[in-house]
Amino acid sequence: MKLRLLALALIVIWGAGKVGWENRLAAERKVVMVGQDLPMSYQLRDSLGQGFTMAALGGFRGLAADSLWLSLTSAWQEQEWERVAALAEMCVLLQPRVAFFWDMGAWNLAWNASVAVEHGPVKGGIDRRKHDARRWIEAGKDLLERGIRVIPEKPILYQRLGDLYWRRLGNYEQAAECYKEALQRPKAPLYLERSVGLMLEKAKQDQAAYEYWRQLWQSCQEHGVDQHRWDMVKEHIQKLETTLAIPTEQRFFQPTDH
Amino acid sequence: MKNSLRHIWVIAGNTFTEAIRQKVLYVLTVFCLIMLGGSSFYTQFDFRGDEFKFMKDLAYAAISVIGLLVALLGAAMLIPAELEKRTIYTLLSKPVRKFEFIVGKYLGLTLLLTLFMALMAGIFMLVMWSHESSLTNDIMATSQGQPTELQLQQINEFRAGAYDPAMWQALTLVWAKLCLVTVISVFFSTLASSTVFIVSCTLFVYLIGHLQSVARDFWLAPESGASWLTTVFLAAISLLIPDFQTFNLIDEIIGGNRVLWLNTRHILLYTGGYTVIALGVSSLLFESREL
Repeated sequence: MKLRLLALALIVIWGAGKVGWENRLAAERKVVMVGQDLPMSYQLRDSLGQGFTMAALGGFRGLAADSLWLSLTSAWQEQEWERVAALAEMCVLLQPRVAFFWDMGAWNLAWNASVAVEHGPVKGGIDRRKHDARRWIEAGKDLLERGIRVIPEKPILYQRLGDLYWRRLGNYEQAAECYKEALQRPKAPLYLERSVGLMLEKAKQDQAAYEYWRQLWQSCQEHGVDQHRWDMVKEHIQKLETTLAIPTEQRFFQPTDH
Repeated sequence: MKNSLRHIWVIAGNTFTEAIRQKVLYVLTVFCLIMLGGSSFYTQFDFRGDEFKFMKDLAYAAISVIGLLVALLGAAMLIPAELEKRTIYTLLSKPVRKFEFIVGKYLGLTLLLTLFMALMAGIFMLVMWSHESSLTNDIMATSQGQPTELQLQQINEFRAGAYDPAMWQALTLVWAKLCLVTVISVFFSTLASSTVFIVSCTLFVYLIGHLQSVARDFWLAPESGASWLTTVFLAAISLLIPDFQTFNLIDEIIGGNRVLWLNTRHILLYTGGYTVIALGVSSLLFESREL
């Protein structure tokens, strides 16, 4: 009896201490996951079936999200775009900190769905088709923007948003801004440096593009053959100097430069 | 003290040997190997180069589920078997204390779990390496040995995905989680001798443990408005059951997000603390049990 009481006392003392410890660990976890550590939101429980809820509860959120993604792939093949959108929402609800789901979900909506409704065998006139296509592009953009709010530290979502502004909306200034944002994040691909200049040129902001390319060139001392592709940067500077009719003596590269 | 440690070590060694002879372990290992090997079939689907996330999810789930069964069955079968076969009486008639028996059993099972995890981790790494090589070789073949800038970036992403050192961090957390399940299983095995009872109780604790943080938050909320009965129930869950959400960082690591080793160390410390207390309580209860 004495030993049992001692065991009970040990449990109570430990329990009282561990609650504080667990709260501290939860706070640490919240910092790591940028406030996304929701054990199981009501929204998520309403969206998921019983099987997926159990999987998520058992600590297999990743696997549950992957299974939903496979269903999304089937829906995409069958061109059931509303189902694709719903499944993408579930995936990002399950794993909001995984960039892949935001990125590919948005790609499915802004590219696949919008192109399919614009050019596919659907009823309605050209205006209706364009309207529907635009709706899917906006849905993809919304997904990316929400993804950026959840994982602002990853360059990929900014890059994809830039691609969307460029290729789907033709908004080159905004695309350039997105690429600039991506470049401020670690591990951003180096070719995005050139994408910013390219977008400014496409937006007909030749002066701004010229200054950007010059700044980019001056940001580095060595201009050898590497992933920065300085040869291409030089080409753009020279092309813009001709377009802007900059006098030879004021040009960045003099004829003697190699 | 020295004697005690020697007793514990001998019991741990015997438990390990006994456990490794169980056929069920080999069946579980084969299932785990099939799942790990099968993870590479994710390449059949188009994930635009992000197959590694999916492979890792499946592999970690396989290791976790099979590891959970190894931990559960190990503790639930070995200790009741000692009672059923009456081998425990021979053991305890020698100068072996009951707490040495419990700690030894737990350490033997942990050793088994560690070996299982190491084996699975090694095979998983091989699967990842083989998949990465195949993807890289495909790119090199299509580009005739001169990959473009984009292809080079892809190759770098494949390598970063396949040889991510954070995988060890995730594996460590899976191991810690399974060690916690093992100690809970050992605790229940000191209370009862029915394997089904021990397995079901441990599984319930495992499932409730993933919701413990919700109960704790509700219990500690200043104006939750809960009745006294609900409050007592929530307090009991918060005080008794470990918070398995703590190990949620595994998902974060697999998702490619950075988690500090400091956070991992804190979780390991928590697991260690829980283990010591659970073993202490188990020993006290086992000591008070009439055998």
